[in-house]
Amino acid sequence: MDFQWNGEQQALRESVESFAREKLNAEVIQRDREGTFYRDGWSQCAQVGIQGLCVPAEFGGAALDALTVVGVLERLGYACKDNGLVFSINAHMWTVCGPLVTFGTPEQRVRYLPGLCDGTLIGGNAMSEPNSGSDAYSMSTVAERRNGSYILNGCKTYVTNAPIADVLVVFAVTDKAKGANGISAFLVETKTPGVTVAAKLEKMGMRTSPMAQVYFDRCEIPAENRLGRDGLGAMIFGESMLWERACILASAVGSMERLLEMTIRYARERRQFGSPIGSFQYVAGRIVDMKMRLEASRHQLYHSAWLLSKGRNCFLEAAMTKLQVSEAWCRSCEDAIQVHGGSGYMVDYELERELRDAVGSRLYSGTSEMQRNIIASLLGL
Amino acid sequence: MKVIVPCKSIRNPYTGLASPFSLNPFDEVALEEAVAWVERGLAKEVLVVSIGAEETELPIRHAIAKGATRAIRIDAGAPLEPLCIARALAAIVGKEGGDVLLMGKLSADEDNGQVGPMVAGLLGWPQITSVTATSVDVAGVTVTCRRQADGREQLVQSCLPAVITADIRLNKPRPTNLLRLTRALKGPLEVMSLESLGVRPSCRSPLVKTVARPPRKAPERLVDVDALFSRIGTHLSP
Repeated sequence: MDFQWNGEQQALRESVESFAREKLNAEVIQRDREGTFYRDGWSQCAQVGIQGLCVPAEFGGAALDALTVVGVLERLGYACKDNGLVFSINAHMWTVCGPLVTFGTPEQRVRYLPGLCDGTLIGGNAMSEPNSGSDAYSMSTVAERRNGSYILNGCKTYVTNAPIADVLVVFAVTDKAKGANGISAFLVETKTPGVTVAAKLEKMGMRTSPMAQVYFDRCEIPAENRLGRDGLGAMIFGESMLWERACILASAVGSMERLLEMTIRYARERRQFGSPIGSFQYVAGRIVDMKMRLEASRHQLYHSAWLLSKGRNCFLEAAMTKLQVSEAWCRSCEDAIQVHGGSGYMVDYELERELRDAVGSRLYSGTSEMQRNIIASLLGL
Repeated sequence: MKVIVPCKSIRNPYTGLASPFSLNPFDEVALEEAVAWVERGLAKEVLVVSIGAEETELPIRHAIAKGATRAIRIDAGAPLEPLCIARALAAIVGKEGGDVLLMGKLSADEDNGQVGPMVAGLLGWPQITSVTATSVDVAGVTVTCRRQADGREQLVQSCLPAVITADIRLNKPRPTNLLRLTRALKGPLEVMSLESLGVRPSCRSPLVKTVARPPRKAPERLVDVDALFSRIGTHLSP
């Protein structure tokens, strides 16, 4: 086993870290308060090549393997405090770029991937509906084949990036009788007549990552915009969820490291009763727990990404990574706030925002409960 | 038009990084300008030249990733005095040719600001220093630069070839693209010795002593606002 990054991986990680530290952290508190998406930051990330980390070079991507990608995203999360921006990038990468690379036709790849990599196009994924969340395949959005097109009708909710997106991967029922095998995926441009992006949803955290409901009303989609063959939607969704569960919280691991360093520094400097508070065992114990969670999360993350890099099955590990990191991130945020005392509760310390951002990770890409269900079923239970 | 951009690798201020070096920000600005000239069709080639040991190579590869056409590292283990660096750069110009030497006005670690003017002197080229904007005529015959002097702004024109030193306000350098970086990390990097350029390390002004800056005094906690005003008053009173 080799636990060391090679020279190239190290250079990429440090390059992204330096970039993020210098360019992405201005006015995060204000953007969070106002719920503003950092478009210029998005463009700069695209210049660096972050949106196209997994995309082949011929389409403008960096063509990196999964392990290197999570290594780079980890440093992005460490140095960039705008978790919402990073989340938007992740949604774009794992649920739009990834499926296009794997399932897109040559024409679809040429049409969309260069723009998705260079920052001129923003992607989003439309799966959840008001009445189908965890039970995703019970959706009611339908796509009816008519001549050379599909007519899309229905409503999707919690669509990350919807207010800013140019193209969405939309899942709809094409043959209700076939159940999950009757679901298809479509590339839908948001300017298409019949697509309405509703008002932005107000969220607890990740407020710099815009989200909205999207309505489809007799929306005509050319048949060539179907992603993958008819009825392949569930497989496409499953594949994108696999990558998302394995990789989306790489930045959270970086974020946990930043929190840990900040908390250690505070516990050393802050003195009460004549001693640094870190010398009190209850305080030190919390910080030790933060460190333990960070390292457990990091190893779980690297293991899943390593399996993906090798093309090996990682359904179990991806679910474990998602569950482990999301729960650890939330608890470490709580510990960081607790160690900082009243200061940790203040907006300027940026810990309360971190906690609000972290909570969503227990919900998106499948709730913690769903991850436990997946893990249990893969254990034969 | 061929542009030579000398780039210095300086110690990275972030000690946590495995690579201890990064591009001197003034040189990074010069490089960005040269690459922008190529993109606008004003120049054809950007040659980056750096002087240092092998461990300083990563920033040079970043320079390639940012758009340099080629890069040369002149191998030197120990730091060189500015005149020696200027001689090496003049030798590179003699060997490679070039129409513009576009470089940072100083290095952020040493603050000497001597190399640009010295190499202009050695080459007998005109120079425009501390430049905040450039304009190259289409034929590539002259360059007009804006430079900020004390309380005023100047437009200075020069025929080519010339030495131009960049102020940090010249532009905002682009970030390094990861795909280009992976390619640059695997690509060629020419290495030359000082001897091959006919330059002997010299030291006309040896460093006699380096004294660490004294630590900052601990801040003083004042008991109340009156004490603060009292303290400020002692500084503000006419």
